[in-house]
Amino acid sequence: MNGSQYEDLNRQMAKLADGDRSAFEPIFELVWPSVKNFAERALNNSPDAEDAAQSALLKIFAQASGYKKELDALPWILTVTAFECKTIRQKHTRRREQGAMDLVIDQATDNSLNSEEILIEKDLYAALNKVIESLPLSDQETIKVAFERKERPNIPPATFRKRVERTIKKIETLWSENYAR
Amino acid sequence: MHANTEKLMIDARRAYELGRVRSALPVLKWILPLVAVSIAICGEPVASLSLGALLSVTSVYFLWRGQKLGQGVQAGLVIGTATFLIPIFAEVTGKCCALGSHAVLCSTLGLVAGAAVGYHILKVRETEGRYLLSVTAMTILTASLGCAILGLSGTAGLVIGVLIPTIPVYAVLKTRYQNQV
Repeated sequence: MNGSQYEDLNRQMAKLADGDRSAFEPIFELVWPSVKNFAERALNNSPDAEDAAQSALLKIFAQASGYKKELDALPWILTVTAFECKTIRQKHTRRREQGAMDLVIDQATDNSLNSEEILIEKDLYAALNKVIESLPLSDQETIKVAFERKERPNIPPATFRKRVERTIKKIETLWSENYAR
Repeated sequence: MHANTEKLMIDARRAYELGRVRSALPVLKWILPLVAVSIAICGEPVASLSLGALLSVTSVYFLWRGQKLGQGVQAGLVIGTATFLIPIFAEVTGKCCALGSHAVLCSTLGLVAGAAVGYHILKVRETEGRYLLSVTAMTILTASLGCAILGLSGTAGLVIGVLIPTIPVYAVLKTRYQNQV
């Protein structure tokens, strides 16, 4: 977006905030490419970038009547988009964690494994247990709560997620120190 | 334009319109207490509710449409509320009937409110007809909640009273503005 488009966007946003519907289309044409590019860069061109961009655009227009003339429109628009991208990324992280947990449980209960595979699994679990037992008690408890679906401690979900991430990192470090070839 | 982009534009437009309705709704925080006072004091619940509903719908519509119609709502509500309080105060203090006939009292109130509307449009130098319509309609509807106590003749007197000074002031302002141009 060049300087004159930037100024034009500010002007058109002020008109739209006041209820002038004629500003809707020019704003849409100015904003949509910027929002889409920003989301693609923020989410590394993942397929979710388009969803994030669309959702951000709808939020921008839903909040357009509250836009304040003295503010620059573009930073406000990109802040809304960045927030939307962050929300989508967080959703993914949560889904990945849940997916990994389900995979471990599925494999553990899968009866189709042959005896050799079962032995390998057993060895891996034994090694993993050894690594987990070498962690401090608080970390062991975090892992148990996270992966055995026990009752979560009374802390905010975001804090708990960060705690789980830290513990998993510790496990990865210990694992690579002891078992990496 | 790409079909997806067109659909996105329609969705964005819908989000914008809904956002405008949402941002118009807080005006009800001002109107509902007036309706409650009108019901409690005037003893004419049907009239108070009907006028309250009409005032609510009109103000939300004006704010949703925006531009000059939306800009006039606040001034109209302020002038109308000041006018609304006089018959309510007269009723509470028991001086309502001592002030003369209903139509005369409300016409006098209307004249004062109309003068206030005229002074306001002179002060803001607003020659747009829709602005005048918005301020006048809001003033009449809000003040008539107070005049519900005085029945139909009171409300009619109020309407006439408001229009008598407003229209000439507007005509003078418009002529002067056109001469300047």
